[in-house]
Amino acid sequence: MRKRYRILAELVALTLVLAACAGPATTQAPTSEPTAPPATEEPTAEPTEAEPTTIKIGIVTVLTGGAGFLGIEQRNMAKVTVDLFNEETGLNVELVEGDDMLSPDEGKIVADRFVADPDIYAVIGPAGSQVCESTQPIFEEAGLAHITPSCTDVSLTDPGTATFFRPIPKDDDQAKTDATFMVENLGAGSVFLLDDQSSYGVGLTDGLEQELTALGATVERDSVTPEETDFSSVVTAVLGAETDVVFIASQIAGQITALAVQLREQGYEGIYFTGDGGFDLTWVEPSGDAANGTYVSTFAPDPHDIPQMEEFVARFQEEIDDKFGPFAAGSALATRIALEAVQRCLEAGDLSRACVRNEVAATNMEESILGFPVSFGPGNQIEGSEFTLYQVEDGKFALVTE
Amino acid sequence: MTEFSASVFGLPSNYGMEQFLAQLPQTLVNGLTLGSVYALLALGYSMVYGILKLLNFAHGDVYMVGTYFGYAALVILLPLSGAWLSIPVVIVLIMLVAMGGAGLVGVAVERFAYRPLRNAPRLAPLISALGVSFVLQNLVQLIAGARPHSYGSGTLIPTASGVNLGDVRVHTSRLLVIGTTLILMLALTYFVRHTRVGRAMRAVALDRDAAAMMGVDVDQVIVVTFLIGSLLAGAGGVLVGIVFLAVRPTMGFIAGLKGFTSAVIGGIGNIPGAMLGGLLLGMAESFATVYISVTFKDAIAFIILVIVLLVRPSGLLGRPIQQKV
Repeated sequence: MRKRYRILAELVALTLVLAACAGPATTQAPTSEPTAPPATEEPTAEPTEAEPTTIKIGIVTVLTGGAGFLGIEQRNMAKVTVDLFNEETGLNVELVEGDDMLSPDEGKIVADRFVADPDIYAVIGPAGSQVCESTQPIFEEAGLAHITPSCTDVSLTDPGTATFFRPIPKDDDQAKTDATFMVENLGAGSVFLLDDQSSYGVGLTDGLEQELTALGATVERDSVTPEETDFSSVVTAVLGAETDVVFIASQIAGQITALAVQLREQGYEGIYFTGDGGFDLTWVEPSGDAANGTYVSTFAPDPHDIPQMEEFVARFQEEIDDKFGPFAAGSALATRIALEAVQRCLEAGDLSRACVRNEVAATNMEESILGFPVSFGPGNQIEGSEFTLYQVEDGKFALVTE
Repeated sequence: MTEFSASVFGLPSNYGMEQFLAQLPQTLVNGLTLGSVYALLALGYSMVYGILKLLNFAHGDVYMVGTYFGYAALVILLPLSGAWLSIPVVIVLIMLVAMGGAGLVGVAVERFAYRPLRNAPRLAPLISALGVSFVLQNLVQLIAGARPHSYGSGTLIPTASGVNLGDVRVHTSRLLVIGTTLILMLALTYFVRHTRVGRAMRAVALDRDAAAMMGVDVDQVIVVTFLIGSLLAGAGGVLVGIVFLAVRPTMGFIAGLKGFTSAVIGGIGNIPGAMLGGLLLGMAESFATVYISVTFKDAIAFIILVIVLLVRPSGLLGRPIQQKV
C-alpha cells in the first residue's frame, strides 16, 4: 500500500516538474538567459527585421455538425480573402480557425482561446446569433474586435459592444423589406408565419409580425422544432384561413422542402416565402414543381451575381473548388474589413488590438467588394444595408429587381 | 361556450364549430396516415416481445436504416425513370430495397446483439439494444452525413395528383401510405393465421419450451419474426420519406418510441393490438396537433399511454398475464 502511494507521489512530482519546464517561454527567459533583454531591443532599429511579427486573424464559426457546411463556406471564403490580401500587400497574415459548433458554450471556449493568443488582432465571427451573444462580453473585455459575417439578431447591436461589428443587415431590416414586399408588391392580406424556435427564426418572425400588422395585414403564427417534418397541422390551418403568403423562417433545407411539398399537395395555391435558409438549391431540387415561384429573402446576394467579386469567385474556384452560397459574401466582407484595418494600423506603426478596433470602427469603404458602401453607425451596425430578394424559377434562383 | 373552450385550448377567439368541422376531414386523413406508419412500427415491437419478451429498442433505428436505403435507391432510380421505368415501378422498387435492407439489418442485429444473450438476465439484451441503436445512428451519420436529406417526392409524385373527397384534398402519397399498410397488414394476418411458420410463431409466443418439444425450430422462428418486423419497419420508413420528405439519422428515436407506445397501448405481444394501437395513436396525435397545438405533438402520445395503462394495464386488447406457479 505504502509503495503505491510513493509511486503516485513520484508521478505527481514528475508531472509538476514537466509542467513547469513546458511553461511559457516568457517566464523562463529572465531566469535562464539574463542577456536576452538587450537582444530583443535591437529589431526596432531595423523595421524590416520586425516584419516576421506574426499577424493572425481568427475565425470562429460552426465547422462541424448539421450546420457545418455554412461555417466551412465562411472559413473557405475568409481564407481566399486573406490569400488575395497577402498577395496584394506582401504581408503574411495567417487565418486561425475555431469551431463553435453553433453552441454558445463552445463559442466562449474558442473566444477565450483567441483572446489568449496575442498574435490575433481581429476575429471574424461568430456566425450564429446565439453564439455572437455569448461571446460579446469576452471580446469586449479583451478589446478584441470581432466582425460577424452572419449574425443577424437585432439585439446584438442594440446597444451592442465596442468590439462587435456587423457589416451585414439585421433581422428587422429583413422584416421590413419582406413585409413591405409582401403587402405592397404581392398584395398579401393574410400571412402565415412559421418559426423554427431558433434565435434567428423567432427574431425574424417577431419582426415580420410587427411590420405586417402595422401595414394592415392579418397574421397567423405557429412554431416548430428544427427536426419537425410533419406539417399537417400547419397545412390544415393555412388552408382553413385562406392565407395569401406562407413564410417559413427555417434554416434546414429538408424542412423547407417538406412544407413546400405538403402545402402544394394538399391544394395550397398562395405564395411560399422563405428566409435565408431557402437560398439553397438543396431544397429546391427534391421539391419538384412545389418550389416554383417561391420567394427567398437573403441578407447577402450570391457572390456570382456581384461583379465586384469576380476575382474572389475565380480564386475560390481555383483554391477550394467547392460550391458556395450567400454566407460566403458576408465572410469575405468581414475579413476584408479586418485586414484593411490591420493594414492601416501597421502603416501607422501601431499594431495593437486597440488600434485595430478603432480602425475597424472608422471603416469607410466607398465601394466594398460586395458593391455597396460600408461604414458603421450606432451600435456598430452598418449604415444603410439592403436585403436581397430572389425567386425560384425552373429550379434556379432569379434575382428580383423591384 | 365555443369561445371559452377556444381560449382554453389556445385557439384564435373567432374559432367556432364551423372551423372545427372544416378541418375535421383533413385531420382524419392525416390521422389515418400517421396511424398506418405507427402501426407498421408497432407490429415489429409487438411480435418480438411476444416471442422473446424483449423490447427491441433498436427497432426505430432499423426503420431509419430502411428509410435511408429507400432514399439511396430513389436517388439512383429517379433520374432513370422514363418510359420503361414508370413511377409506380420506381416506388415498388425502392420499397423492396428499403424492406430488404431493413430486413437484413434486423436479422443481423438479432444474430449478433441478441442471440448470444438469449440466456442472460433480461437486462442484458435491453442494454445491447440501446447500444445497437447508437451504432446504427452513428453508422448512418458517418456514411450519409448528419445533414437531413430529402426524398425527391416533389419530382416523384406530381403535387397535383390525388383525389378530392368532398372538401379534402387527399394526395396520392397519403393514399399510398394507407393502401400499402392495408396490404401489408392483410398479408401479415394471412401469414400468421394460415401458414406453418405463422403457426410456429404463435406456438413459440405461447410457450417457447413446449413449442421446442413439439419440434418447432425456435431459432428459425425468432429469425423470421425479426425479419418480418424489420420488413414492415422498412416499408414504413419509405412511406414516411415519401410523405414527409426529410430524413435524418436521428429520426428513428422518436418514431421508435411512438411505435413502442402504440404497441403497449394495444397490448404488447398482440398483433391486432399493435394495429389498433398505432391507428389510435396516429389519430390522437393528428387531432391534438390541429386542435390543440403542434408543440404538444409528442407529449400527447405519452399522455395517452399513461391514461390507457392506468385504466387497462395490459393494453386495450391485451390479456392480463397469468403467473404460472
